[in-house]
Formats: sequence, C-alpha cells, structure tokens
Amino acid sequence: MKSENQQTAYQISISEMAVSLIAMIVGTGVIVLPRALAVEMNTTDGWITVIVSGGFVMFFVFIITKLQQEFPGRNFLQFLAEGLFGKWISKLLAFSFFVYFICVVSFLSRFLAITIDIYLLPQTPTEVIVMILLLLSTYAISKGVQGIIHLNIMFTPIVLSIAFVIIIFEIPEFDLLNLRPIMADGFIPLFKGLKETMFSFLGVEILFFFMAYMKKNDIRALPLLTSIGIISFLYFSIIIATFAIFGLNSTKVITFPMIDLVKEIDIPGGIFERVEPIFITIWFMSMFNTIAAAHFLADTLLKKELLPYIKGGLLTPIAVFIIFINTFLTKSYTELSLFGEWLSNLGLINIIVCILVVSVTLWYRTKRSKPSIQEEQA
Amino acid sequence: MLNKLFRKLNKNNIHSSDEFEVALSNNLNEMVESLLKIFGDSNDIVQRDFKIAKTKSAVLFYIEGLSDADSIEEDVVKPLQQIKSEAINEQKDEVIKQAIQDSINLTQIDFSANFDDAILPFMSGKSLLVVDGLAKLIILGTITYENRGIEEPQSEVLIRGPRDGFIENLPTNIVLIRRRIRDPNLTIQLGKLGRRSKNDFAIIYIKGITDESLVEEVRYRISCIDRATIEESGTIEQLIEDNVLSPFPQILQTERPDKAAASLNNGQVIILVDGTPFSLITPITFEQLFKSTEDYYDRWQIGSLIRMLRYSAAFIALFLPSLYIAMISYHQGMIPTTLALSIAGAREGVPFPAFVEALLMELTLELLREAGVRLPRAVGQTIGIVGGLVIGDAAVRAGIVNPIMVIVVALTAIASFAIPAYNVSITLRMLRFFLMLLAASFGLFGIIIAYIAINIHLVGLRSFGRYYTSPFAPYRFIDLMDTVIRMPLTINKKRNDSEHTADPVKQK
Repeated sequence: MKSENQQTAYQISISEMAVSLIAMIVGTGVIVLPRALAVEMNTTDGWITVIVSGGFVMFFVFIITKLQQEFPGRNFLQFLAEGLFGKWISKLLAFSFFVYFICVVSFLSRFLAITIDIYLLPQTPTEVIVMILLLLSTYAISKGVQGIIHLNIMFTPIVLSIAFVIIIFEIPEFDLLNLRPIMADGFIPLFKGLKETMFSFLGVEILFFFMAYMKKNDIRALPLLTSIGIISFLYFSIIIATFAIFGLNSTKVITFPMIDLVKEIDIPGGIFERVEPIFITIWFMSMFNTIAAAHFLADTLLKKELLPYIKGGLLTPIAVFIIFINTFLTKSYTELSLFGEWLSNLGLINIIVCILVVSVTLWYRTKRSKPSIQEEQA
Repeated sequence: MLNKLFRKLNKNNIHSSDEFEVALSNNLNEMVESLLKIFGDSNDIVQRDFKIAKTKSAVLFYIEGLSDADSIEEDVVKPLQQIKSEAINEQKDEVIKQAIQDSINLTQIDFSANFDDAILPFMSGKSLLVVDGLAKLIILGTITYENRGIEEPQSEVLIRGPRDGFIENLPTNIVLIRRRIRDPNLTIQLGKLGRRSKNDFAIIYIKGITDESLVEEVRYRISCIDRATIEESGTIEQLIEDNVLSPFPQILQTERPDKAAASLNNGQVIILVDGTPFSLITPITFEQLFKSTEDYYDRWQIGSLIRMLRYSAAFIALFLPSLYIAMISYHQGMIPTTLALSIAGAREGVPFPAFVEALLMELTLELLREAGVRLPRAVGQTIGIVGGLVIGDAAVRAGIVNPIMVIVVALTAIASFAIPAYNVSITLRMLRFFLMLLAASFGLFGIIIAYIAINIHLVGLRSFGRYYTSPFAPYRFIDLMDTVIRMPLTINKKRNDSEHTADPVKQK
C-alpha cells in the first residue's frame, strides 16, 4: 500500500501550521471573552489587555520555535526523554498534558452542548449531542496528523471570514462613546484582565507536538507570530464591538456576548430573520477543530508516551469513555466556568513548565557536549 | 480488514490456461486438424483452401467480420496463386518464407513457431496461413473494424469546444489524442486485460511531465487485475481505485479527447480501453469534479462565473432539501416572518412532517429521472412533462406536499444537472438523502455534523496517493487561482498539482 507510506511521511508546511494554530486557539474565547473581561476588570479597557497579552503569547511562540529548531523531527517530550532523568520528567509532563487535553475536550464538548441546547436543539438530550460530537471527533482522529491539520486548514478560513464579516456588519450599530473613559482606573485593571486574556490564547501547546512533523528549514517564527497577530486582532475587534454596542454594564450580564452580537445583525434583504443558528453552526466548525486536535493529542500521548506497551485498538475507546464521563461531571454553566478556570491554570502551568524544562535541558546538554567537542579538536 | 475478507472471498483456482501443448508439424493435414481442434465448434471461422502457384496446397483461416475478406482475396490469395517463382517448391524453409513474404501485399506478416503466439492475433482478426511443408504459422494483418463515426459525446455536451468524441475503437481514440499532442514524448503503452476477453487497453502519459512513479503505480495496479472479462473502463476504475467504500469518484471519466489531452498536459495519466468511449483520468482532486474544459475556452470572467455557479449548484444539490427540513422542523425562527406565515399556511393541509414530505418528493424525482433516462428520447420528454407538471401540481392540490417543497425539489434537481460529471451528481444525490435524515433528526446541528463528516472523509481520501482535497488542503496557492475562480491564463502558468509533476511550468 503505497498511499499509506505517503501518509506517514506527511510533513506540515509552515503556512498550514500557522493556520492550525489559529484553528486551535480560536474556540470558546470568541464567545465569552468580553464578558469575562468586563466582570474581571470593571472597565472597558479589555482591548488594551488583549493587545498586551497577544504580545506575551508572541514571545512564547517565538521561544517555542527557537527551541524546536534545535531538535527538528522530535517533539518536546521526545527530546526530554532522551536523557536519563528527562525520561521521568517527560512521562510526568506527558501525563499532565494528557489530563489537560482530556479535560479540554470535555470542557469544549460540554460548552458546545450547552450552547446548542440553548440556541439550536432545546429538546434534544445533551448526552446525545455530546455522543455524536465525540463519535465525529473519534472519526477525525482516525485520519492521523494529516487529517487533523487538513481539517484545520479547510475550516479556519471559513470561520475567520465569517467572524470578520459579522463584525463589519456590526459597524453601523457602534457607539464608540461606550468605550470611554479609556484607562480611567489606571493600569491595575489591565493586569487583572491579563490572566483572562492569556487563557483565551491557550492552544499554543499544540506547537510542542505538531512542530515535530515539520521540515527543519520550514520552522520559522514569523508566520506563527502573524497568526497570533490575527487572533489578537479578532479578539480586539470582538471586544471593541461588544463594548461599543452593549456598553460595560450589559456586557457583564450577557452570558454569550458574541452570540448576542450576531442577534443584532440585520441581514440586508431579510433572507433570514435570525442568523445566530447559522453563526453557531459555523462556529461549531472552529470548536470542532479544537476538539479534534486536543482529542488527537490526548490519544497519541496515551498510546505513544504513557502506555506504549498496550497494543490493539482498546485505548481509543477507553479515552473516549473517560472524556464522556468527564464531560458530565460539571452540572451547570457556573460549575463549567469554574472547571474552565482550573483547566486554564493547568494549561498555562503546563506550557510554562514545558518551556522551562526544555530550555534548561537544552542548555545543560549543549554545555556538556561542547567541552567534549573542544577536547576532540584539541 | 475488509480487504482481507474480500481477498478470502475472491480466492479461487485459476482456470485452465489457454496454452496448447501441440507441436507444429510440416504436414498440412495435421496442422489443419490441430487448428480446428483449437477453434472448437465455432461456425464463423472460415477455412479457405487454395494452391500456391497451382502446386503447393495451403489453407487460410480467418474469422468472418473481424478480418477483411476482400483484402484477403486481393492481397493474399490472388498473389500467392499467381506466384511464378520456382522457389516455392524447394525444401528450404527460409526460401519459402522469403517467397511468400515477397508476394503478399500486406504490411504485417509474422511467422510463428507455436500455436500460443498465433491464436491471440487470430482471435483479434488476423488471419492464419498454413502452407504444406512449412512448420510455421503465418500471421497476416487483415484486421478490419466496424466503426461508428466520430460524434459529439452525449454525456458531456459543450457549447464552445471541439465536437469530436471518443468512440468504441482503441486505435481511433489514440489517434484522436495523438492529433492533439504531436510530441514524441507522448507515450502510449498498450496491453491486454482480462483472462478471457483479452481487451486492449492503453496507458497514455507524457514523458517529462508525468511523475514516473505515478505511471509505475498505475501500471502496477492494472497488472494486478485478474478478471475473466473487462466489460468497460468502469470495471478497471473500480478495480484500481484507492477507496472502494467512498461515495466520491477517485478516477474521472471523459468522452472528450480535448479534455484527455488537457489532462495529459497537466501530468495526469489516461487509461483507454477498447470497446468503450469512456477514458479514465487519474489522479484527480476534488475540485476537478467541477471543472469543464469549456471554462478554459471562454474568457476568464465567463469561466469564473460558470465555476461559481457550479459550486453553488453543488451546494444547493447537496444542502437545500436538508436546510428546508431543518428550518421547517427546528429553526422556524430563522425564516422571515411573512414567509414563515405563508409556509405555515401552505403546510396547513399537509398531513406529513417536513422530512416525509421532502423524502416523498425527492424519491418521485429520482424515479422520474431514472425513467427518463431509460425511455426512448421522445417518450422521455413526455415523462418529464407528465412527472414535473402533472404530479407536482396534483400533489400540491391533493395536499400531499406544499408548493414550496416543490420549488425546493425542482431547484435541487436543476442544480444537480449543472455539474459537468454525471457520476458526481449521483454522489451528491446519495449524500443528500443522508443529509436529509440527519437534518430531520438534529436540524442545523445535523447538517454541520454531516458536512464535517464528509470533510473528514475527504481529507482521508487519496487518488493514487495524492491528497483528494488539494489545493484546498494542503494549500497550493497557485492552484487555488484555478478553482472557484478561474484567473486569466496569464496568471495560471503552472500545471495543477505542480509539486508532483516533473515539469511544473506549462506556459511562459
């Protein structure tokens, strides 16, 4: 079977990686970020925070790319596992990431199920929706890295263009006076919002794993930084639009500000009375990309890093079952938000620890190997 | 796993081969007897006895209709009878052979030392000459064809473009391609397929453009076919495609030589089979299902507009009925109020849910379409009128369906006819029912689930190892200029999927 060989030899190009990064990051953030910021900061300055944290994330991505350039063809955990001590750290990190990705899938499925329950299918049981969703994502992960990346790059342009079209349609409703006063309470609220906006950039961690599938001279930082820039701009415009239309006080109490934004749209010609079902359907594609990528990573981590000695197709169904049970541990939207916050903390810690450990290991290994080279030359 | 199962099911003993373990002799009567034994009881085999130079007896066999009887009489029998040379009576084989070769007025004369090499040409229309005293079978190229003329293909009608189409005869079809590409690098490799039918087929590609490994793969897959008869190129298509379970065609078929030539120029491989006007193009990508050669003949604005129309047609053909069902059953709020009221009014007398209504109308339409294809052309039109007007109108009046449903179904039908490849519109039809079912169960959520599932299937699909969704995924930015919008020819200078072709530039 020649075609199968070609599939394993698949290499991600840098443009595909950049688009996948957008696909992974854009998820729930689009829907809930403005409200979270309004509650946390109590000012309308969220857009400044987004730009600032966009800068931070760019810095992270830059470091990750630089690190990856040192060991092309292997992912971060595989690189760590090459050392004696690193082997155990990499197992630990793999477990931590596995838990994180499993929880991400559960969180997103639950979130989706709630939105779909509210806006699309009020009478269908949530369990059924989640079940179909997980079935679909299991089908997606059966196509491997190439399938996941290709799905990302097929859906993301659609989702992004629709999101920007919606914002453009909103422009007539803008009341920019709502955005004033700018920085009325000084810099402190900006720092308060920083954590919240950093959370909405979670998804960067896929770089740890997917960049291993890239050619060495293809690993460049600039396209990835551009995609972070695009996401920052998307968040920025959504926050501006939400505050400009609803004002600070109503934004605080709207659960899903983006969906309410869509409700405000008047389609010219009146083909559709309400557009939010269509928006949710299209936004579902973006959510699905995130779910499928996280599910895929959880699945591969489980199979390749954690339990490599168990053969057969049993692990995937078990993982799906764990995700399904985990999805229904949270009982209400409030609990889900709390769960999301823990999850985001875990994700952030994972990213920072992974970057730190890998940098230290890299520094240690180069330091150890350099003297030996010099000795040889001498 | 499925492959294993199929392999087990297909496991059977190879039938007795057609090797004839009979030695040639130089006795004429023995030879004739052995040949008659091989030919069996067929009555259409003509045996013509005559004497060379009025002394040496000879027998000529040919199949009525396959061989040109006039040419045999004029160019073979007559010259041999009137041979004056004394050489014919000598004992040396070489001298006799030379004398025969000199007198026969044909281009193809072969001497065979065994039956195996002679029987297949004979069965294809060549004639066999047996001469007394010569332990050789003489194969004479007397093949004639019963041809229909080159006509415009009925399955792919163009407004602008050449009017010729492939016919059932392989050499003619090869000529049609050769006439378009007069390049010595145009490579035509002939072969025979089918254990019993021994159909001729040709693998055609341009050396220096097509990737050699691709040609190798095509050759390999075709050589794996072991089947008694090859009825049509569709048989080959099904036996060499990558995924048997996929509803999407992974090999394109065309009746148009200009399309075949354009594909060759894109680095694709053409497979022609004797006995059918349909040639196979491989490998293909998803977007090629929506391409027609006409797009390139008209100016780019026209081509782009038609492409966009086709993509929207595909969208309508796939999604419209399911969107209707979803909106009527789940998301009534999306429909503008006045329209919603009028739909509600129209649906008041309809006893069925939207899904049943849509299924009923779609099934009726599929029936009408199938019936229209089978019936003689004149009657077919009548069926269209009866079906479309009478049933549609009557169904509405009887209160079985509502008028808007009729509009939806009609639009869907028209849209599915707008796609250039016939088999693709059938793919969309199949998927439409699947989508309707999901829309009836989950509304818009079901539709997007189906859309994502189709996409997942497509990203996993290959056509001869190439990604089916290219150039959408993986991105090929230059090729994207020639998908939904066809940019001017001056911009599209590269071949499609240029990464895999040996010579990526087609225009300077």
